[in-house]
Order: sequence, then C-alpha cells, then structure tokens
Amino acid sequence: MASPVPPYSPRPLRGLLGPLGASAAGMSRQARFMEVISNNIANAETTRTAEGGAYKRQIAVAGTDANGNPTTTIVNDTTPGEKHYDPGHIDADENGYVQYPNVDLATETVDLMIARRMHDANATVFQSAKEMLRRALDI
Amino acid sequence: MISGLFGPGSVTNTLRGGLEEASATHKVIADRVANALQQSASTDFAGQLNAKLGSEEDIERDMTSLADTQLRYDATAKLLQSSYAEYRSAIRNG
Repeated sequence: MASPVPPYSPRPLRGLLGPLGASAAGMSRQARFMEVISNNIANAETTRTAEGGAYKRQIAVAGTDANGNPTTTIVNDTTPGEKHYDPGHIDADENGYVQYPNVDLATETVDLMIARRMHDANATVFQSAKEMLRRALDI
Repeated sequence: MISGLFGPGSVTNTLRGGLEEASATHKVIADRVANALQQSASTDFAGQLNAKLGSEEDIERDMTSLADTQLRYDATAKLLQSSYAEYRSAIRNG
C-alpha cells in the first residue's frame, strides 16, 4: 500500500516572513539608538535644562514588553560631567565653575558608527529574506 | 504513484524539507543580528572584549552564515523548480 501523501505545508513561505519582521524591528531599534545619540551630541554643551543643571547623557537600552514586542527604554548616565573654570559664564557657580554635560563627542561618534553598522547588518538580512521570498515565489 | 512523486522519500519532499531548514536557519540569524546590540552606549571596550571572549555572539560569523544560508536556499529552490518542471513536461508530453 502506498504511503499517504503528507498535506501540503506552506511553511517555507510562512517561515520567511519571520526574518522580515525581526530585521525590521532591529532596524527601527538602531534608528532609535541613533536618535538618542544625536540628541546627546546636540546637547553636548547644554549647561541649563528644564530639570535644572547641565544636560545628562542619555542611553537607550533595548528590551521586550510582556507580549514579546521590542521596546526601547531611555536611562540617564549618572557619571558626573567635567567642570570648567569660567566666571563670566551665566551658569557659573559661586566659585566660577561651570558644570558641563557628561557627553564625550568621540564616544558618541563611535557609538553612532556602531549603531549605523548594526542598522546596515539588519538591512542586509532584510534584503536577503526578501530575495529568498522572491525565489520561493518563482518555484 | 502520486505519493512516489510527492510523498515521503521523494525528491520534492526532501527538497521541501531543505527549504524549511534553510528558512529556519535564516530566522535564527535574523533574530541574532536584530538583538546583537542591546544599548546605544556600546563603547565599554573592556566589557565588550570580555563578553566577546566568553560568549557565542559574533556578528561576522552571523553574516557569513547568512550568505551561506541564502545560497543553500537558492540552490534548493532551483532544484525544486527543475523537478517540478520535469513533472510538468512528463504530464504534458508523456
């Protein structure tokens, strides 16, 4: 007796839609990282904020919510920034020192490059998933 | 006869399994690449070096496996396409 034909399974196609979503989430996460880094660079010299005091460097941390969806939390870097002696500055303290943000431009630039490279990597994976999907449609 | 062409042990069935395997591998790579960077401040070089020495995370290796998986998938899809073409030809001209 011939063995029964297994039911047709569209799994190759369904399986491929997963990487598209994962890479898209990865790309938007890197975009968010780059946004936070540019904000740090833009405020590298900000000595006065609405919360009071100099700007605090922000760090975006990736995570997932209860449903497994990717989230990004922003935390403040608490390391103290540099103080410069500048008695003429409007935000100078009684000793003439100005508190500057704890943002280091070189560090931020390197972080930006890393985030950009990771964005590129996710885009490459997305592209390859797309090509595989297209290839499957040609069968 | 039909199960001989499409059933378990047939060429098309094996190739279909190959396609599924390649797409599962691709999904794993996509997840690894998407989660490789967990925070925007990534310049703790000493910490990164220790993490790299102790863990399996390696983006270069992931990207190489990606190319490998894609080629495997393409080859399998091409073989599957040609076996279907053979069947089609047999049905039309046989």
